[in-house]
Amino acid sequence: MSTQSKPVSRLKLHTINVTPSGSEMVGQIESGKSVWQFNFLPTLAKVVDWRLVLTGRVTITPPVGRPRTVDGVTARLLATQGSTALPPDPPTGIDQSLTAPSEASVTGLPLTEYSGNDGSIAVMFLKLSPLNGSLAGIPYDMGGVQLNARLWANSTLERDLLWLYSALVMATQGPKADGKWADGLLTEINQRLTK
Amino acid sequence: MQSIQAALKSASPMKKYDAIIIGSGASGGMAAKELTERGFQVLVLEAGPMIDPLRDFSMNKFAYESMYRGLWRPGQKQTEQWMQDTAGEFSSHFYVKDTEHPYTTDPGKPFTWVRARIVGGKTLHWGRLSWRFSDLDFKAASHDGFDVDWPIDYKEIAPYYDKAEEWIGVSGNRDGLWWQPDGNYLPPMALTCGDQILKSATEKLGWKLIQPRVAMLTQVKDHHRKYGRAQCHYCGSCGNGCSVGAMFNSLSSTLPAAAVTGRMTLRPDSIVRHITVDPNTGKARGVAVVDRVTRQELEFTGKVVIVAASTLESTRILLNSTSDAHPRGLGNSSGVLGRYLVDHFGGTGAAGYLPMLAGRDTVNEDGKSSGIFVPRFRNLDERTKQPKFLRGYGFEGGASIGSFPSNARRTPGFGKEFKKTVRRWYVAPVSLTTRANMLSRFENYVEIDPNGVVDAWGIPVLRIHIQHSENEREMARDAAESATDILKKAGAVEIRTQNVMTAPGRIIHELGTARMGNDPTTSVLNKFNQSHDVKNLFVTDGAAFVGAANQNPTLTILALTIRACEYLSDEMKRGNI
Repeated sequence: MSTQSKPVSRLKLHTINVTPSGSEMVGQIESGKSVWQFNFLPTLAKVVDWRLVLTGRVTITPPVGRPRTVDGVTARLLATQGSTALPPDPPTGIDQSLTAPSEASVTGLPLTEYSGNDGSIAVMFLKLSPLNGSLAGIPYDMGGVQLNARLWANSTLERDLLWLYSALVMATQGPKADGKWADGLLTEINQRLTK
Repeated sequence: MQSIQAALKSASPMKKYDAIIIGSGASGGMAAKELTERGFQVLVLEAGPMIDPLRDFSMNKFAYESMYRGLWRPGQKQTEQWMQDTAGEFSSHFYVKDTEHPYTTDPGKPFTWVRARIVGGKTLHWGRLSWRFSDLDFKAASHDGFDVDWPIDYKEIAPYYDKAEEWIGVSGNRDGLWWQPDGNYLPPMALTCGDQILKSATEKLGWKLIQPRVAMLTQVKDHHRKYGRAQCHYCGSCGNGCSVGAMFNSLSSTLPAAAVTGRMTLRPDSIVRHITVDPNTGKARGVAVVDRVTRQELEFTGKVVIVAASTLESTRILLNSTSDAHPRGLGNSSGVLGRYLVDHFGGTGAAGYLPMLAGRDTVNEDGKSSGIFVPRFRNLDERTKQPKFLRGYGFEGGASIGSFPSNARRTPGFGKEFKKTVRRWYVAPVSLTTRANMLSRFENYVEIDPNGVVDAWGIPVLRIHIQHSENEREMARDAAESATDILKKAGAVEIRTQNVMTAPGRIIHELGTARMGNDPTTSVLNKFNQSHDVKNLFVTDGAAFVGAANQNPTLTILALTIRACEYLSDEMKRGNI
């Protein structure tokens, strides 16, 4: 008799909502009354095919028992949602060449709030590389989870990263995509991820 | 309010309903009423939960009753409902959590998509302004040459405006303006003292200022009383849920009317994945649903499917309903589905204080939340034609005051003197904000996100592409200047001219994306809101609009829904559907 169990069809976990805590992204996974803490700590940012890819460590803390960690997890940017709130100021001391000109109206006509270079992103939607949630007792298929990273910033580091991620999205997917600009921003992001 | 509990019976996947209605807001509720009263067995699918007015409405709560003064626990909004602009601590449960319902936008082009997945939909907190469109709007293209006319004219829809107004109860005044047609109104809410000052100033500039036409009962008729609706008492907290049913919402009006027929089944927590299609006929077969709570997958079948899930949600459902017969989305042979997205814009205007009112005593009518309306005064005729922009705008605003002193946040200082200053000016604020027509343009559109972004149930989300054009910017400049002129003429002080346009979506009047028209190659629906491609499919919400006009759209949505249901009923009797 085979001891191999028949594969069980699990419900898919489609999304995890996270907010920043420093450079880390923190959220929860819920099933019934059980809650798992989810942490993604990116340590490297790259641009592949004009899209941000973050690589780092995922830590899942079950309701009972010790945390489980997985290194080398990638999170590839799928898309973003624009913000309608005041963007943060550029990071202190950042090279002026990395800041895009403000949307000052050349015609003197009113502008749309938080648009163009005067905007920022509210959410990054990132696709995680497959995870095995059952290791931490999570009853979901985590083979293709989307991370909804809501970049609500409360600290200088979080504000800097919000500004840098927003600028990087403009540099890679905006109307004037610019590889050199993106490279400069990546350097700044990686400095902050490895601090 | 009359209970609709009786309609919460178990929906059966085995039963073939006469009609399945997706959505329970303005259009869905009205469709349920109209069809059940015509003998249809209908299933209403609502994506959000049921609501209990006794438990969930906060009409009589003051900010002081909350630890956070109505502003929420710090960070709560930013992490859950950040884009639900108008949600507050007492009304957050009327809105979706952005975290569960994402959408994507182009870099640098934000869109605010406010949604209410709950029984009653956005009617639970809508602005209640109920304007008719005129032929200046329905035939705008004939007037100025831009885009196309609607396939209907005012004369065709006027009887349905009558029916909608009579049912929901609209207070207002007959002002005799040809471009802002009159309806049948309950007594108007009197203008406040400050409103009167604004009216006088506006008329000195040659423009009109009228009482708003609002779906709030200033007089109770039998068909209102039957469902427990009462007269407005000017508490001013409409957005927190109206416990007495004075403001129209589907929960207190159309859904109870449908429920008493015994022919409505209401199923909350039913998130629509897509509309299913009979592969043999290409017609709509039913609706595939995932239960919001249990995640159970279900399919319900019906002879007709009416999509009334709100403008963009309806279009999302249709775009997600692909099949061999409809590879680009259901009813999208034209390729126009998703195109011509518009929203009114606001933001530009002016605000200040009327010094002659400072320090006065308050009166009950100060709490009326209807304000004033300055109807469009640009591009009405040759005399008012503007060289730099097409179409026009109106102003909302007035001198009403709420229970919480909104001027407190702008007042410097602290302690006794601060309170004294706040009290003195609390009764004197005045403001005008623009409600402007955004041109319908092909290049403003929605699509299913091509990068595979999904919501919490794995359903593909929308990517929204929209931005204002020079026409809107020229109009915004003119509006800011005109609003400032009115306040100056009224003698206001500390005038702040507001010169930035709201991001698309923020006015919550998103319209278009499944436009009606006579030509099936350039439109999605015919003039009765029926799909050109799929005869048993109707889209009755704001998605059907050809243009935005500058007036609030809900009354037109209600009138179109009544008309579509009448047509649908007649066509079924004739055996054409």
